[in-house]
Amino acid sequence: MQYLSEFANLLIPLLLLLAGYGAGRLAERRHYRSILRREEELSDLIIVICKTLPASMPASDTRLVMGSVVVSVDYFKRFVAQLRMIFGGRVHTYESLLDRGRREALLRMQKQARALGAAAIFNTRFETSSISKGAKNNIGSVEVLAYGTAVIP
Amino acid sequence: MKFKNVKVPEGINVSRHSPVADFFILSTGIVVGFAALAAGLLYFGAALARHTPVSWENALAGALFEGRDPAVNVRTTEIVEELQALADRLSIYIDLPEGMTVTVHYWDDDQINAFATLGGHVFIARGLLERMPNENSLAMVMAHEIAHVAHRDPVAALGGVVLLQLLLAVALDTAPTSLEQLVTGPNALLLSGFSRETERQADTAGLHAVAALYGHVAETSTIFEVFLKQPEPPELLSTHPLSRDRIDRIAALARTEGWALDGPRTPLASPLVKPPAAVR
Amino acid sequence: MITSTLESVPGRAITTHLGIVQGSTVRAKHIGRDIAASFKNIVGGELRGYSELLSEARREAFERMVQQAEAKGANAVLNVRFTTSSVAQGASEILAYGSAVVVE
Repeated sequence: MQYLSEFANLLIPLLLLLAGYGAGRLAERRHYRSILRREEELSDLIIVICKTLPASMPASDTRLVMGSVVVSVDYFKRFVAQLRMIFGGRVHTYESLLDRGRREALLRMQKQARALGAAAIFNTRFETSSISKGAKNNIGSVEVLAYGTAVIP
Repeated sequence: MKFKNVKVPEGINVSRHSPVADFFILSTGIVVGFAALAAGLLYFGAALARHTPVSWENALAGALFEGRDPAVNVRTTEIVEELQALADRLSIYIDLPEGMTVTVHYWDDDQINAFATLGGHVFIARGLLERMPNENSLAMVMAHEIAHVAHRDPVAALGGVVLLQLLLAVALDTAPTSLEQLVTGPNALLLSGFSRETERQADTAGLHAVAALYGHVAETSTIFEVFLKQPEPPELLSTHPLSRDRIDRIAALARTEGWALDGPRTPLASPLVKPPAAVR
Repeated sequence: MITSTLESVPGRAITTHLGIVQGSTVRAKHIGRDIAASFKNIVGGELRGYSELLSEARREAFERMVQQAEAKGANAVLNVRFTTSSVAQGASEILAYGSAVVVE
């Protein structure tokens, strides 16, 4: 009986790792496909970090637009990241998380601007925060907020 | 002024790196690191424990073995007395630390076994005694165990295990509730094996004592011959060097020290012949 | 590659805006540094281990941003900004982003 519970103690995290790896990979690929498709669709809506509008640019209206997303990594990547935090160095498994989050936030902001009929978004900024701070088992998830000013010609 | 959005190639902010490879490299690193730490702690704990005062070891042994002496009755007292007498004769030739005394116990068990533990307590099993043809062969076993006591191997092994248990307690976040739990943890006392090197040193010191007592080293290999007849685990799995190696070492040592390999055998004292099982 | 926190390159007109470029990296410090830092925290002062870690990470994020700008065919990145956020306990993300442009 005791062996059984010890076996289960070892087996459950292993299954979670495997499931996390499989499902996480699948979800990530799907997300990237969708990101690439939408980036293609919105490619003419340019995002500029600069504040000042060029004098030649027609602007009948300007409006604040924003997009935000909360994304999390799978169990497997989180586990690898936790191991990595013992040794230090590049946390490769979190790179795609942040890349996906940032691009998704931009896309949502662009979508909002597109609905307003904007030609460009100026003075774009990012805000990134981990929303799980303070939890004992830190879940690797981030909120990315992108905001800027949509310029409507 | 133009606006032209150019697509950025993938793979700049996300490095092509397999998380599975990362996983295996990191877990191997953890395992190796932990093993190295454990080995280091065992070694350091042992070195530290060898320098503790003998009185501490005796006090600890007293606290642990209080009221746990194996059954001693009228029929076994004589055996214990004879074993103790042999131990006392051998102890003269083994340099025991200040304040350490050897106390021999008779252990009513079929195992071919003898061991030394904290506080100079030496246990001789019935199974071993039954297979000893004469006093010379028993003396080698006894001298080997007394040498362990003299080298403070039991307390050194315990020191290593205690440190290791502390590490485990920290790593697994399970605080030991008492000192006793820490000391007796997973059979810390009996199974905390001595390293092969300490076994060799005990063999050497024991052999010196036997040679000094009897003037020759006849029958000192008998115990290992007995072991050879038993199914033996491969050397890697056992901390004791293989019996064959130990027999060879005895012969080599006798050659270099100029000890006679043969001489008159001393018969076992009568209570030790056909030792009875303790009556409970 | 011109990189600047200004919105323009003085004396040179912007001919084309190429959109946002960004570079990011996630770094973790090892446990040894954590322990050293917790001692250092008692007396205060610069935590050299962390300083090095973050500046090294920032350099990499910056390089990745420049790499993106090169891929876009830009010759300047304007209004460059850095942000640092902690993704999880002990891991920080450094992000560098700016506007990729072509100047005369």
